[in-house]
Amino acid sequence: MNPSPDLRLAELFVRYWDNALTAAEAEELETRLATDPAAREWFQVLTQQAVAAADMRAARPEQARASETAPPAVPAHAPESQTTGRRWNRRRVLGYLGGGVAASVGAVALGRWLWSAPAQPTQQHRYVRLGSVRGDVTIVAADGTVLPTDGPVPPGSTVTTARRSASAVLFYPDGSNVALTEDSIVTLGASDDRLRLDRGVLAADVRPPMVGRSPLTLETAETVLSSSAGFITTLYQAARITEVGVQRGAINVSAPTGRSLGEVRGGELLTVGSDGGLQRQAIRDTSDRFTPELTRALVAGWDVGSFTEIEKRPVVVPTYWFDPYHQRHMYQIRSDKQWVRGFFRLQPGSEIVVRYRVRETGPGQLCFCVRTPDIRSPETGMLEWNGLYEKSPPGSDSLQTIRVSARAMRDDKGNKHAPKFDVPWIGFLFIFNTYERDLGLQIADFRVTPPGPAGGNPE
Amino acid sequence: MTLEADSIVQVLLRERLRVTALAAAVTRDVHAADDIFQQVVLAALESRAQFRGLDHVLAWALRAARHRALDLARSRRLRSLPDEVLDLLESRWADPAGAASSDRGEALHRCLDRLTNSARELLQMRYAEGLTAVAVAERLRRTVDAVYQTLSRIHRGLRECVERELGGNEGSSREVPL
Repeated sequence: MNPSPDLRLAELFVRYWDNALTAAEAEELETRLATDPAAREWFQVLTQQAVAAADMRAARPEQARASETAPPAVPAHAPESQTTGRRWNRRRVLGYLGGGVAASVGAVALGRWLWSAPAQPTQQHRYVRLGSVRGDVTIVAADGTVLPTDGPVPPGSTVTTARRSASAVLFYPDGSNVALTEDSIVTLGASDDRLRLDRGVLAADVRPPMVGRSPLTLETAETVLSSSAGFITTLYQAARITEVGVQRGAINVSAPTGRSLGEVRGGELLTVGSDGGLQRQAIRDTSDRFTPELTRALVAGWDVGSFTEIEKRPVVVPTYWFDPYHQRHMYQIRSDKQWVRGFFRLQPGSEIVVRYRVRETGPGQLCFCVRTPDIRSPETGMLEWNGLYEKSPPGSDSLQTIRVSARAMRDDKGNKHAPKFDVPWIGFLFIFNTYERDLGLQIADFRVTPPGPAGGNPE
Repeated sequence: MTLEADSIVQVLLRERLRVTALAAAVTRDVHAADDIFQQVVLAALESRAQFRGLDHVLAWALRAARHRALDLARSRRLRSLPDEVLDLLESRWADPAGAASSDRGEALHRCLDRLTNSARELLQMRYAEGLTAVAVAERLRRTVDAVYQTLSRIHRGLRECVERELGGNEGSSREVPL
């Protein structure tokens, strides 16, 4: 051991911790760590001291606590870290290990490190904050003021993740966090124990409430979700339905009127219609094949487009509607957003085949919105085919074919939002688009097959 | 042979300080590092079929924690240490005889208990609440440089205290000097 730990390295360390090193200081630190084993040892000790210090129970003089009752000044440069703080989650370990193992490990090994009571939150910690902001995200306070996304989110505020690939995470003082996926809107209640999903998808990891506090309750137009035991859920609010998927724990679901809609347990998906209809099903892994039966009126739940028969052949045709992304009216077929279940799971070599017919040749798109396999992650991306929908040769009424791989859709030159995460990609929304021209598009067949001999492109 | 889940958990909990500290060294956020440790434990349990032995578990956990921490640091636009430096640090962290022995951890906690109230307060603000030195300085009405200096001295004092503790020095009951 170095008998005389040098103060200079400690000075560099505390500035490094703040990301506040000058270029020269950073070089000095990096050089010392690269060349001096004693510096590496000291650096390790410094970091362990920081971790151990964070574990200390608060032992703060009353005078100091009293000084914190004044309204907090939340510095704009305050790191996101203070909001992401959460202690080890005993439930997760117990849930994973099962009682027996946890009991055998728990008393000795877990006790001191993990189950120590967290420090009492300061006033500053009582704010809901936004973090992991990606893309176009806005916070509007109840009085209409637009707020910075790196500060507190006051009660009554509305948070919007607009456009494709935008996302953000709300961090609650009790350690709960709520991830908002693209094109979603949430509104905080008058107190920070209620959150309403107005549109889109959220994934929430809700912790048991602190003593004397209420649990975080989630709301949509059709449902109110609560539990005193903590849970992990995904919630989807569309125009006509709410989907409640529970990954862990159990949630009591009721209508806004207070009428109980039952309990949803881990692995279950409850769909609540605006007409009060309920459907409960198990959450299954997303298939790597997708072969919708266009002979069924499957577009009933889709957002845009319609099902029809032309010359006794079932097809799906576009609807002229206002596209929020392009901010203008377009002819589109657009599925609903199946965040929880997903429509299909894609590898780069997955093959997408579309059989179609158009009245006239013109530019168009086929777009997939994809997410990661982790249903709680708000990260999304786009796969796009940008090309021409081509009219069949004169005298022929045969169908045309688009055959494209998921890889080619990711790498399409017109694709500005390719996923930045690895495969597999879970397709949760798809769009056929002919922009502002009505090409008379008819989709007769649409299928996704996995790579390899049984499916599409070999890897 | 696949390792038992409880064996993996016991190893990782015993080495929790080591793994969390490596993650914290990259993220500079103890709570995020705690989250990473938690994720690593769960990932280790899900991957337990691949472990060749308990030594392998620690090395795997350190590498997994480092990668997750780097992802987080990049997302927060933190300047990271170069890969070659992180390789050296990870290697040092993985050394079973390294600075993270349980004796050393116990000594560190005893020394933390012996800190003055003001020093504990400062460490709490800094590492438990995640405040920057600028925010700490505003709260304490001190200069930022003074906060950095005091923190540096507390760290050095803690290390000297631990060395005395482990050496059985008779002065071990003294308050940690700053």
